[in-house]
Amino acid sequence: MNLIIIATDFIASLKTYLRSKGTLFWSFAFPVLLILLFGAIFSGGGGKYTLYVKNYDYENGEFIANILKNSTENFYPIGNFTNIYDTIYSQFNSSGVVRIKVIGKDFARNSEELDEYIKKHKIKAIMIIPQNYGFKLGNAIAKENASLAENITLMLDPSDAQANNVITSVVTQFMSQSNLFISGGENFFRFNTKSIIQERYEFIDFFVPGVIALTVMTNNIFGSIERNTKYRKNGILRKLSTTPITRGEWIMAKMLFMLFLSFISTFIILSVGIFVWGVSIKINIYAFLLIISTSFAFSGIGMIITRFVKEEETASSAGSAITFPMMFLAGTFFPLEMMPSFLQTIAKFLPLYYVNEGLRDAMIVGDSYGALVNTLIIFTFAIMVFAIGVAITKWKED
Amino acid sequence: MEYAIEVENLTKIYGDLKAVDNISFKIKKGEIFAFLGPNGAGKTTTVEMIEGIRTPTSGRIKVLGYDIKKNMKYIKERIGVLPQEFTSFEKLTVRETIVYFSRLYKNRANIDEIIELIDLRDKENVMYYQLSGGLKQRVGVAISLVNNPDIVFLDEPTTGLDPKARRDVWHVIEGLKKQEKTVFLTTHYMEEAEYLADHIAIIHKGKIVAEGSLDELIKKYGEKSILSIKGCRTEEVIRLLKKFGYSDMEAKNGDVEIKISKGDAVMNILLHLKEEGLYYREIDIKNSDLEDVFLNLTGARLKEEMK
Ligand SMILES: Nc1ncnc2c1ncn2[C@@H]1O[C@H](COP(=O)(O)OP(=O)(O)OP(=O)(O)O)[C@@H](O)[C@H]1O
Ligand SMILES: [Mg+2]
Repeated sequence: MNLIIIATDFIASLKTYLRSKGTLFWSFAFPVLLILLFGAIFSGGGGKYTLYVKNYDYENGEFIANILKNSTENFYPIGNFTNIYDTIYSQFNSSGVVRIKVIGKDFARNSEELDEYIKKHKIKAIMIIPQNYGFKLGNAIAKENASLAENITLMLDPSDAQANNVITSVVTQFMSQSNLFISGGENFFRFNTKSIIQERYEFIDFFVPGVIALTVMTNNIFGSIERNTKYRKNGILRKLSTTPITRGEWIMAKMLFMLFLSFISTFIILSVGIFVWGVSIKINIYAFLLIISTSFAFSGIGMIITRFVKEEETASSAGSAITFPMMFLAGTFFPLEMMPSFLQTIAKFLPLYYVNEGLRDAMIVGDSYGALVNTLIIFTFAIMVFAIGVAITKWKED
Repeated sequence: MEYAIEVENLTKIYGDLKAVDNISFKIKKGEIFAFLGPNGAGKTTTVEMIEGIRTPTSGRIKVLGYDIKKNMKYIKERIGVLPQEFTSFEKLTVRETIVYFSRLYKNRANIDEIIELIDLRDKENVMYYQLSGGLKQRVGVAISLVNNPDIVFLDEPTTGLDPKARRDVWHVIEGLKKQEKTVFLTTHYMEEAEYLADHIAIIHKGKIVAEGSLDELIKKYGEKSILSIKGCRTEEVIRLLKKFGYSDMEAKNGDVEIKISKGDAVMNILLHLKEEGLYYREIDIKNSDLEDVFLNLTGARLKEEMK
């Protein structure tokens, strides 16, 4: 490795880069615009408050609904639903100020997972219905003994007082109405509250790592595609192969430059996130490793593409065909939990998914275990694709 | 070590195609060697094998006396290459481009001298992509000189240039000869080979069909020169010249065309005409050129095959 050669190539890359308005736009201005725009869209808060529900008793809801339907006494009007809990959710939603968001049965399966889930998704309000809640309630009503019924737990983030007031009053109102209906006021339905002790996360917190992942991905894949198509067509690679620079030195110089670019982009995106939207960021080793791995992984993918598609435009289209759907499918802009489950499964096969998750774990949530796992996954992937890319990319002609 | 390049039984096969078919040649140090041939003749394939960019199917290549299989690292420091259809980094200036390539070498020529030699002084701070085709090629030549090489390879340096830009590149190449560099030039322009080359090899369908200096090639494979005496009384002229021993003549609507081999024949013929008081409007001499050589050797035309 000749350091002068590496430095020379690095400087040339930098100059070329700074003089290309197009690439400058895509790697700096565009992500910044994205953050400003999305931040503005989602910072308004909207009219409704989201109340998450984790219902460990949902499976029994249908059974209970059947009993109620077939019963001669009109215990409880369940409407058109086949599950008693769906009736309850719809009543909350019809309040107009609260929106129910149900956590699927494959998520947060026990209390530890639930804690993690709450943390990760920055949940500010959640209602937890314990297992066999419905049966115990039924039993209590049948025996006319309210103390046999269980509590529903309402967890709230105390920092958002207005949301808490609204949600608490909606829940209280629902329960006292139900109690009145069943027993003339006895407390069969009741809840206790707990506070969620965590930092406040906003949508923008979720969004910033996604934009970083996206920017690092596109910079590297398209940079690599350009180097390996345009430079080949222009004879630059052939020319270089007649000079003393080795392919190793050249790749080293280019990757150093790409890493430099990745870190600068990250820095700028973070700065906007922090100074404009008040995102709180944790800087740690995992964030660094993830960005490095991501750079190598997508540079490798670019090399692999150009091994098969020699023409610059076609290769760029191939790059877009890979990155564009991946951007949406890997949970870059929206939490994956909002998507149908088959899409969630697809996401698990996308490298960008692990980058997104890893960066969020590392920079926002501070979940070092999650960050470590995702870093290891993307690191291994990077070594593989980069090694393949280097191995199949030739300077020489046949 | 007399030869800059020695090539022996070099062959390159692509599938069913013998792109280069068992060729051998030697290039003396300090000469401009032109590899002349139409499109697809195998020029690029040959020079790129010598430059180490492509691997020969078989054959031996020595550059500056060193076998390229074992000594490429050393050879790279001593050759400069302008690949065919080369386009450098678009967003670097001329000077930055030259500096970039110069830093890749241990042995670095003085950059200002190169800029002076290639006459790029008033363009040195212009971005490469803003240059005209001719200037781009000159920058290409300039960066093939940054390591002060002994041998410079120029693969079709003037293809696609207008006549003025072509002349400028020719002057640059002439300048290299003054610097005692060996130049390996490929071209499909016969004028270029005629103007520049000390030694010419004509390649056709992967084979070298003829080799030598321009004079040698024309003497051996060319036509005789043709002297046209235009606007004369053809029968009288022919009768007169036959008397003096000229035989290869033809009358064509008022002109007489005589094939001659020596230059001084022209003077003698004009003298005879004057002594006899025979009137003519004008004379024209067409010398044989590489085009004739190529036609005679291959039955094909260089120019037509250019497209
Ligand atoms: N990589 C390759 N694979 C297959 N065939 C090739 C390859 N490179 C060259 N050829 C073929 O070999 C022959 C010689 O090509 P080459 O490029 O050496 O010709 P050339 O004399 O340089 O022509 P031009 O004046 O067009 O540059 C051509 O028929 C070409 O199609
Ligand atoms: Mg060629």
